[in-house]
Amino acid sequence: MQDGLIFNNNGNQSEKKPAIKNGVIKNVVVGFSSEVLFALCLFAWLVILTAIFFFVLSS
Amino acid sequence: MLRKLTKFDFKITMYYTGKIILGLAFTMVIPLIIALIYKEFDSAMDFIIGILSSVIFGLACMKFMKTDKPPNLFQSMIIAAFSWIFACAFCSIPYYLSGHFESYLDVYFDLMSAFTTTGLALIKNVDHVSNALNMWRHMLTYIGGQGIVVLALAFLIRNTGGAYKIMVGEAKDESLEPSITKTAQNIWIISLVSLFVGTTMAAIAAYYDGLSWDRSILHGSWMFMSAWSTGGFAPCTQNLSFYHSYAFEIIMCLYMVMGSFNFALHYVVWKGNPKELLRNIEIKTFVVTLSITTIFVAWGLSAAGIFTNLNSVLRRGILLVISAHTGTGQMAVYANQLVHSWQPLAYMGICIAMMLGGSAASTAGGFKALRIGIFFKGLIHETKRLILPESAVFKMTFHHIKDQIIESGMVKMAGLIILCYCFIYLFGAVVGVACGYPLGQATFESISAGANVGLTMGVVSPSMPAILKITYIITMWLGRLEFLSIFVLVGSVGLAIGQAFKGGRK
Repeated sequence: MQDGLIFNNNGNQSEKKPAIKNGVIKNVVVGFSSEVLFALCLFAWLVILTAIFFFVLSS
Repeated sequence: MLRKLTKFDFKITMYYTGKIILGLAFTMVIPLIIALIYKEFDSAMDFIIGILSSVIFGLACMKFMKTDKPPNLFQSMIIAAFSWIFACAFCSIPYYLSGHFESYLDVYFDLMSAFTTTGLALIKNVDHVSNALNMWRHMLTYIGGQGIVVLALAFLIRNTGGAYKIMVGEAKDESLEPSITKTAQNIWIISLVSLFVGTTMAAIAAYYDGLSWDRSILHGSWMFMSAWSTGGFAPCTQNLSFYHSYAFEIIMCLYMVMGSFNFALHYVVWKGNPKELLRNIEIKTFVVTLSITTIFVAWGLSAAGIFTNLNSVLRRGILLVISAHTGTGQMAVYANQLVHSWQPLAYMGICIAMMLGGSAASTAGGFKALRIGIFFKGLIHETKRLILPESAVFKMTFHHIKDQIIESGMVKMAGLIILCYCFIYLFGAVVGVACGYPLGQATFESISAGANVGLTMGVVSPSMPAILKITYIITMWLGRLEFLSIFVLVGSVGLAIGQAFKGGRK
């Protein structure tokens, strides 16, 4: 059975989901989000570093 | 025995160069459409001339130099280096016709700066450049970031045995898939998905910042392309400061960092393996070096008391560190401030960050995190070898996509390329000083050009001496293609001239 074809199941019509495409999109979304999350964590770390030096050296 | 240049080498080089130029001609259609939408008919004519010239040249090369043989490594290196020279020449046509440059040398400088994702600019009156030309400037950095050979491979050159070698010549030596065409296509898919998401995010931020919806989309796409390709161009003189928006600056920093990641890393993470981000040697090295340079800048700025609040240190100083380390060159401070107000430690932090650069096979320049990581691991390995008993057997590994054993050849190659970068930084600085610029500014600008960063302390301007412009053009080109393909081109041309000279004497 090809992805996306409509078939009968006990009289109810349903569409088979394109499983491979869904998997790819999910992976891309997860991958992209993890890169964004990683970069944001890195920024948070840089902010902490900068704050330490700023408050220690400015006071 | 040195390999001599043959007629076939020339033929195959011109054939593939023609294909690459033809590919670039198609990309000029986008700024042409922008010119027609905004009724910029002068610009539209410039692009029509550019497209026609490139198509005629491309088709002529493909017809008269046609060959079915795949290029070998020697020819691939020459194709990569040679196609960049021709690409700059043909893509410069709309630039030159726009009237925003004092000379053709300035045009060529800007083109090389765009293609190598450096971001140093000699364009005059940038605030009044047409939308079409602005689109073209930013598209060039975007295309240059992915690689013009990669562009041609993805869409024009198919099933070619020697294709991977040409990509190696362009310093994109990561094979994501067994098929090289598929690898090139994957690089473009990653970039295009990011372009869509990044432009949307930046456009929303620009819209809330007060720009009209169409300007928001244009500025969003331009600034995204500038950040993702680690180019650093901007449609306004004030660069990133023009937007006065925290959200916009965070989005740009986000894409500077993501743009500096290795395409192989993107591919693996997007394939469903996000843990690679925490294990990869390049990312670990990048985090360490970024932290160290951040400490230098934070220390320098805080001790000097230049900024009175943390917010300013972050938005002026740390943004600049990220911009420098990723090789982007977007600025939120003016060149004058860098010259007169910045403390030496902060200045040094920025210089080191520029030298180091982002990841290998990314859009960034500089030494590259992979080489730094391998080099330091190699140093540790050698130190251990001297400390441990001679009979001890040990091996050192690193993780980049997969676990790999460090071999002496890898360390040697990493050290050699790092040395080459140091040489071009030094060479540019010497020429700058010889032209009468202070040592600090000349060094800063030279590193910025050689590492394809684009930050400036004011040396780069239309009034700088022609010799310095030519020096920076060469160092930008060398830095972007990572030396080897250019050395092969120069060596073989030198050999050919030598042969001709000998033949003439006989």
